[in-house]
Amino acid sequence: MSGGAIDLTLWKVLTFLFVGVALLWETRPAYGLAYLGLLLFFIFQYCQGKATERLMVERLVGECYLFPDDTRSLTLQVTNPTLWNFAWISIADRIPAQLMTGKRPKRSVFALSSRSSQEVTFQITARERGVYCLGPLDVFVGDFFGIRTQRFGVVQEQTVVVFPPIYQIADLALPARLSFGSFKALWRMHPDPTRLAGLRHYQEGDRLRSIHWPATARTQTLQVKQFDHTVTATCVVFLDLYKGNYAVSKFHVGTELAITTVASLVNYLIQRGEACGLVSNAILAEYSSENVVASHEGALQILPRQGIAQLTQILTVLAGVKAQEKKDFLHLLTECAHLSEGAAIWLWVVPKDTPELIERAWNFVKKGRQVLIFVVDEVCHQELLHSSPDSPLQVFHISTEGAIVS
Amino acid sequence: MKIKQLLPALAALFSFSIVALSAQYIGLLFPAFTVPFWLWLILLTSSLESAYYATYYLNRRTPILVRFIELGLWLLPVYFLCGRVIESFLWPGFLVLISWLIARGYGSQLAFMERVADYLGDQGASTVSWEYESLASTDYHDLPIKYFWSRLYACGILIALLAIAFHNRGGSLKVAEAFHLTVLGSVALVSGLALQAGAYLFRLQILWGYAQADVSPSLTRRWIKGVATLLLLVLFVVNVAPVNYWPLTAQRISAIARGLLIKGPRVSMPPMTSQDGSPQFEGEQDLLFPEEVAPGPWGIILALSIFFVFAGLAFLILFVLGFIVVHLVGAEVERLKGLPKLAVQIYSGLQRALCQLFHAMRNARTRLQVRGNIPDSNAFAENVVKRPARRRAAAPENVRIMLRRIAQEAGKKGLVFHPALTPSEYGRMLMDHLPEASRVVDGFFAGYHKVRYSNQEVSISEQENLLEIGADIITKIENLRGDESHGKVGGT
Repeated sequence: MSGGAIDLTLWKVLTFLFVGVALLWETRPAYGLAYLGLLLFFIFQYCQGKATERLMVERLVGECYLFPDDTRSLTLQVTNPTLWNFAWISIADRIPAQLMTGKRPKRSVFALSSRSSQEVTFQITARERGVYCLGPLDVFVGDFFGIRTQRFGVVQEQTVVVFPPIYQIADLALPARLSFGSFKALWRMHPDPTRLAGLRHYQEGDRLRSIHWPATARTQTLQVKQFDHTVTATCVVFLDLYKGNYAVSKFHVGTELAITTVASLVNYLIQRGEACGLVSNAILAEYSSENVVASHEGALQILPRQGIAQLTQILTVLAGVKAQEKKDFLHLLTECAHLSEGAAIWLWVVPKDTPELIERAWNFVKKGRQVLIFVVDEVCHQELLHSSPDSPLQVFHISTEGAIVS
Repeated sequence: MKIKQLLPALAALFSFSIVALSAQYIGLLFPAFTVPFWLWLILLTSSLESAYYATYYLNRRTPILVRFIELGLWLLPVYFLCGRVIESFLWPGFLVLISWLIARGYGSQLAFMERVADYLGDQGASTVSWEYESLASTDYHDLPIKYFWSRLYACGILIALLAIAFHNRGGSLKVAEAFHLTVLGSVALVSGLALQAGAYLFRLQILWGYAQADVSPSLTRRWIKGVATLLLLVLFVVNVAPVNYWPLTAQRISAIARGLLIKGPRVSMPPMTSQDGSPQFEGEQDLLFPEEVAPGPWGIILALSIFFVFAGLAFLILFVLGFIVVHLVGAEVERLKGLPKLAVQIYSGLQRALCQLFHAMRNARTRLQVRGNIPDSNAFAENVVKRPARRRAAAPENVRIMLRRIAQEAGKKGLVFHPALTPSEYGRMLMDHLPEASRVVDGFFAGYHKVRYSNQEVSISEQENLLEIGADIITKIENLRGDESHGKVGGT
């Protein structure tokens, strides 16, 4: 903490004058006036200054994760370990406008007795996706007589991550059951025990564990369970945040829709138990944590994995990404294609399905990939919109009209 | 109690103690100016009246005549108590005037502080930089605090000078006189500092209100506690700390200087006297107006010029005086139009203050009764019979207080009386949670509506009955706490 003392020269000089008068002309009233001046303008100020140096302010909540429209209370604890009574302390947190609705949060004012602590609560409401930094804290400390007010800036910053909104797949004008992730294998190699397809009579060579005992008891003949044969294909979502690809008039809307689409797709895939990764030509905004994502050749990359931790990581990255104007999406595909060799299904979220992009997609299809292109702005290849669900190259037009945030 | 209600009392106490202390010292210096004991009472009451009146009612539109009437009300008893002797009246009257004026100044300043909105103008609340309330700040808004500091120190200097004057005259104090001075000095110190701290808190509260700060409810209580601790410390230091220990005092320095001058070289100067013995400077001549110059045309012209100049000056002075008188009278006549309104305001203010005092006492008594959980209806009724007039005036308010008490107790259980609820709706909510007492609750709220909203005269016994029912409901609510000690009742 650093103090901001206010000039009290005049009153200190007057106090010295009173001391001089008291010493020269004596009497208790004169001495009393001198003592009063010394107490008020020197001793009390010194004690308050020393006590203020030991004042402790800490945030009780660490990093905070929110979805848009979420409201969260953040708590600060102010502790006075000294014997000095603070007449009043006021604290205000510097909260970005994107975390406030309507009025600014009220400044908290309270008195703090000796060896006590006070909790101060602020409320934030997430309005927009992003990674925000709260603080530093403005702390003001005053005395009982209006002689001195001290101001401090406490560098106790706190990061607030606001995830992009997540929509249901249907709300993005996409088919309710997208044909990616785990799907029926064309070759019956790996029966999936979670997908019961039916029953049949026992045949010689069937494994004992595949017998359906309740059905056997009911029919008095041995019945065997039949399973679907599936394979799990790893998915990678490619996000295009190259500024030049977005129309200037729809830049903000377009980029936010692209990010929202990626978040919704990743959520859909991971909730289904698939492995999913992310590759993007975006850059991370200020305050974003760099260690959550591997940066390779100027691109953000998160390797495909399953589970909620992976979803959180991808959402955290998506909260802090922003568009850039150095690396084109086609360059990204060229540079990062080899990094996603293991992934069978590529999901591209782009503003437009340009001919170059479609051509590049066909190239990947020829190499055995399934490419699904999600267009957030303008669809150029209308014929691909109506491809069959089994088609290796499909185009979807994203729209959030009438969407309900999940 | 709001801090504003306390500040005029502190200001009056400070004004009184300073004037009384000064009068004591002046009486010691000049025994002819000793003040009688009864004057202290008038000093204190006049200060109180002046401070409260200025804080709550005085404004620029108040007629000057009112001020004279006010002052006359205090000076007239002093005149009569002085035996209607003008010489005896002058000094006590002057003291009353001074005390009244000091208190008036404080009161006006408190009223000025409250009118901060007039000076903020169109500035938004967020622009109020109340954090920099301090002595040294050159900001316009901290002037009121400086005002208090300046007065505190000016009064302190005055007392110190009087004490030094008395000390230098070699006066000695009797025990009773010393005790009086110590008590008055302590009262002045404590009330002055308490006024300073209170005024600062008052100022901050106003600004916090405008800045829409979230002020802790316990701040005022802690503030008063903290100030009391500091005042005790200051009082202890000022009264107990050693004094007169410095060896090099002004008296000793002057003695040393005098000794040096007496022993120093002497300068012999020739006597500057004339032949007749009176001192005269060389070349000095009597300045005489030659008599032969007086008559003649030039003399007449000069006389006329002087006459016209003086006549013009007299006319100008009369014109200015006339203008001022007309302006003042005109403004005063305008202000006098508001006199009836002012009288009504003062009357209603006094009535309100008395009501508040009375209700506070009644509330305390009701609380005691409720805490006892034994509503002694016989004693209560007996009391009512003894004081019918007071009971009749206060009973409807008591029913309201009882409702507040019920809401307060029920609020502790989570049955909060939300501002959006009507008493009837709140009653239904209570009935839901107190099914065994639903008839009692219904009866209370029906009675409440009758007392509060109907034009029907509610008898004293009915009101008493309502209060008893209210106390019963509170008991039921408290029992509810016993039943459900693990948490709050309901989710209202």
